[in-house]
Amino acid sequence: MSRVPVAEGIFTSSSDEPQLVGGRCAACGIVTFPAQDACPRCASTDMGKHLLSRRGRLWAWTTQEFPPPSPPYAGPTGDAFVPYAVGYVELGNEVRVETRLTQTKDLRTGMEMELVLVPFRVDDDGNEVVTFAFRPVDGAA
Amino acid sequence: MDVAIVGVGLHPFGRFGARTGIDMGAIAIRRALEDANVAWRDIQFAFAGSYEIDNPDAVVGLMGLTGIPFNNVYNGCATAASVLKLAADTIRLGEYELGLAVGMDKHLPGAFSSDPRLYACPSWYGELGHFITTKYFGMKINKYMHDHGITATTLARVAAKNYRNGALNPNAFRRKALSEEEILGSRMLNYPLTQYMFCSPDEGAAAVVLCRADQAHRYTDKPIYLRASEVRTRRLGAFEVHSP
Repeated sequence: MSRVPVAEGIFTSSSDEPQLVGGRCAACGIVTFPAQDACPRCASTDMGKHLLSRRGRLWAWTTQEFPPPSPPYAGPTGDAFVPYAVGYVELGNEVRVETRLTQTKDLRTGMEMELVLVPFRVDDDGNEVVTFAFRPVDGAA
Repeated sequence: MDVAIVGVGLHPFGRFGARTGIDMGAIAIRRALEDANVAWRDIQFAFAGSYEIDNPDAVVGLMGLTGIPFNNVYNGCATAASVLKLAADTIRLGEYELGLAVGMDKHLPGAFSSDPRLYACPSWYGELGHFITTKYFGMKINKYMHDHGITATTLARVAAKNYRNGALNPNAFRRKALSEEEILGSRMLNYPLTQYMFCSPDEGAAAVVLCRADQAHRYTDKPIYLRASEVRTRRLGAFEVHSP
């Protein structure tokens, strides 16, 4: 079984220190995640790739306690579904990223978080699909 | 030029078996026409809003083939506001003097779903489970409660008030009063929001007859003057449903 990312190009594959791959506007400097072809502030189409900070602060969060409708949701459903948490994490002063969180308990707005890669599902070919998530930095909980 | 609403018609909201959404739309239109004391042939133009019905203007086949201009709108949760604005603007611009705005729908149970790519979101956003409206509402209210010191009891009070009002309204979907304890104790869906804090997709229709304000008293002695019905999109830094 090999590990494959949920999508190509949205995070670097280093299992120790992965980073999200965002976009940065060459004209006005704004950072986005995911990357996009045009700037949401100045409408420039001169957008480049930009590696995001691995650490940030939890800005908003909730839990997902029932399986989202499938499709588009491709994760475990029925008895295999495990509730998870979702939030926006603010990375530096650059960008807020919507992300899974690694735990549903002991979450606090403003706590320090860091990026990890976590198993998401097993695909039809038996590959382990991994995705990005944020977990509380040790001692933050 | 000011605009007035001179007739209102509702098909009740709830679940109605095999009755189609477009039939509900026709019933709401007839009730609005009756309320305004006008006939379908008097209506000079119409706008309709729907999510499930591809072609709500086909209601003309149930009302009368008078040949009027009839445009359809879908604008998410803002569909009704958009329909009302477009109908009012048509009168404000002086194009017509008496028209109709109608909304009709027959939703499936459960959270709405779609292909994320149709919302300018990447596929992985949906695969991961982010493409769901209820989670957005959970995040938003959780942050609002954190920033302003609001408790879950306050949320339950709002829901209990709405159920109480629904119990009094024969057109409402939810017609049973629920206590704050029952609301707080129902299944947690997206923290801090429980099952009974959410509205549920349902079926129903609503229609209004609009006219130039200076003609309103031809139709009713109690016109509703429409001051505004506006729609805006978000600005930089704001989030909305289905925005990564």
